[in-house]
Amino acid sequence: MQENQIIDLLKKTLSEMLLSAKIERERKVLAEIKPEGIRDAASALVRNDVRFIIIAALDSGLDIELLYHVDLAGRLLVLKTKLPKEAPEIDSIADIIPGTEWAEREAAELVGARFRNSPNQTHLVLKKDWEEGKFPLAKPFKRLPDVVAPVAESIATVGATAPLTPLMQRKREEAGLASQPPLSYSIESQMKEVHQLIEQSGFVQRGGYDPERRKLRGVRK
Amino acid sequence: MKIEDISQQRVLIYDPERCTGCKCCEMACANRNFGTLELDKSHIRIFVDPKNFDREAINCLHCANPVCLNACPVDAISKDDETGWVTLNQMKCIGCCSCTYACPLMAAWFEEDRRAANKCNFCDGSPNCARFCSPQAIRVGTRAEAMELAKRLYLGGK
Amino acid sequence: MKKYAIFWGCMIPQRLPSVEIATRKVFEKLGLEIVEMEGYSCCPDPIVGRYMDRKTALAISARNLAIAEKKGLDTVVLCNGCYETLWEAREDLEDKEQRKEVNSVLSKIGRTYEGKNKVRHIVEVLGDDIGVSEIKKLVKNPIKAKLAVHYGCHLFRASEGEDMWRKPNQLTDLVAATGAQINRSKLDQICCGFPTSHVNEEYSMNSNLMPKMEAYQQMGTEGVVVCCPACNVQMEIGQMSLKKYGKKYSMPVFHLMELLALSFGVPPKELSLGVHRSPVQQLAERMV
Repeated sequence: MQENQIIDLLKKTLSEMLLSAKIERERKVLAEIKPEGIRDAASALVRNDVRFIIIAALDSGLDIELLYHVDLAGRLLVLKTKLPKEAPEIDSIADIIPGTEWAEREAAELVGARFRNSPNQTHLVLKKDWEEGKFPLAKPFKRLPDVVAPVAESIATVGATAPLTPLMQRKREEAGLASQPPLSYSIESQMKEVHQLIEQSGFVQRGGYDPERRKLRGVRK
Repeated sequence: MKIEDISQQRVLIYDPERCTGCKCCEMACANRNFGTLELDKSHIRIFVDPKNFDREAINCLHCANPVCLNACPVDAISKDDETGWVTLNQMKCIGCCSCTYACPLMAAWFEEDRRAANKCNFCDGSPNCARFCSPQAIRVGTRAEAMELAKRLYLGGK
Repeated sequence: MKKYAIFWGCMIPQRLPSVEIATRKVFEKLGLEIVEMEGYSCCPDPIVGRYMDRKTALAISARNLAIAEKKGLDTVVLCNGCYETLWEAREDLEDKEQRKEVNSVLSKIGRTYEGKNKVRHIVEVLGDDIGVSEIKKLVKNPIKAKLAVHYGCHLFRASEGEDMWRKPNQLTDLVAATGAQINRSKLDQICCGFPTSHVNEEYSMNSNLMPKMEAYQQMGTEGVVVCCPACNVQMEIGQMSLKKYGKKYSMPVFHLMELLALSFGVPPKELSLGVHRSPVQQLAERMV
């Protein structure tokens, strides 16, 4: 199977589940897929004489990245999928490709990815009495330092280092000032503009900002 | 290109007369190298005398003939031929702390978490500490400039 | 009537509205017009802006600068933190590549920034455009107090070739113009400890604020003049938290604009100095 044929096969079987696919170098294809598409991909690949190599599990702070490496007659295909750490779950493909069972168990133990309907969930590489819920290769679930995160979150949501308190509003009125300063949060259209700017500037991807919940992803002390 | 004239090597220059002791450089360094703002994890440290308000910094001078390099038993420390920057390879380091004792400034320090020494790596040519210093008390310049400043400050201009 | 686009920042409207009142009164007395920058946002804070995400922070700063640019005015700031952030952003945006990238984001919200306006600190505006002698003429109630001047680190930010002491000296001259006696010392330059207080409060208190307060007290300083609300808040809140360590100080700390307003004859009651967490009100009534 040629590199282009691999990409075509993925496009055909996954359609919108396929996020990107490119020929990274000669005889290597890198494709990013949604986690929901992994079973369809595995079924399609297994019909094309695939040889499973390994699942490399990485912790990128906010997400767990699983890199499924497979060999298609001398050509390497890497299927990359990101599991958000809020719910790092993906369907097991051990019933389709039995060789993945050990790799899945390793990823589950070391970084904390959860495989639904996995046939065997006992420890593989760690000792039997290893503490539950502790993963040796996991990184802290955050992107920004703890000191910076609350203020950064406030800037992204209200456009100021902190929201205006009702007490201060009253004090401003008593002092003869407008109760709302001309900051963006006082003007609805301007607040919308700031929100749009935050989303457009890449803070969602790079800073881990969740525009729907209006919060930074991750846990803080 | 090889640095023949050691006086033209780019180093960090610290001028205590300009320093305000705000420690923004320490936070900049810790963030760049460790992704945190904890001041303990910085390659540059600023000290403010609480009585006379004199300031002094401890930072790697990227010496012409580094003692840390000579003290290292496993060659984990190397001096770049082109730039002259002294860097430490933590993968080679065995954590013996020889460099931390050898350096008169203790510019190389022992990192407990990784059980290896660590030191200033000059941020690949654009040090974050110099970028974020408002009074430009720490800046990048040639060693000749640094020597001139040191002579003026500590030898009374001789 | 000369116009200035004032960038109030977050701290002044939200925590020290007295500075806002004082600035409006001082501008009125000087015959200057304040142009509001409607819809501005946080500059963002120099500590947070540097470490949240550089590109996002730069886009936010560029939007703020664009608001003033659209009005054809320089951005005048009353806060050292805002000065640092906006100055740094403007310097970065001199670079065409970076400006192009930021403008591609700004264009999506219908704005552009061309880098035509400057960022100026209020100290510069009063010192260069108005002049200390002009200020002196307006002083009705000469200040009768021994004051110390705290510059704040970011006031030392200077363009290449500019003397870093230019703005701090202007600040000292402005304070001297009100008739106050100035206690000058080496510690004026030392940071208030605001940046490190985010990370390690105890360390910041011990290394910066406590020695400063101790020295002020020994010199018989009656009040500290700052030109940054962040320094102001840190020195006031810091005095309160120093009580935890068994140190009691009651050093009034206030903004340059409040001092000018008082010396121009604005009664202390009109400034609503009660928002301060240090005995500024009492000092104000005593010194004019």
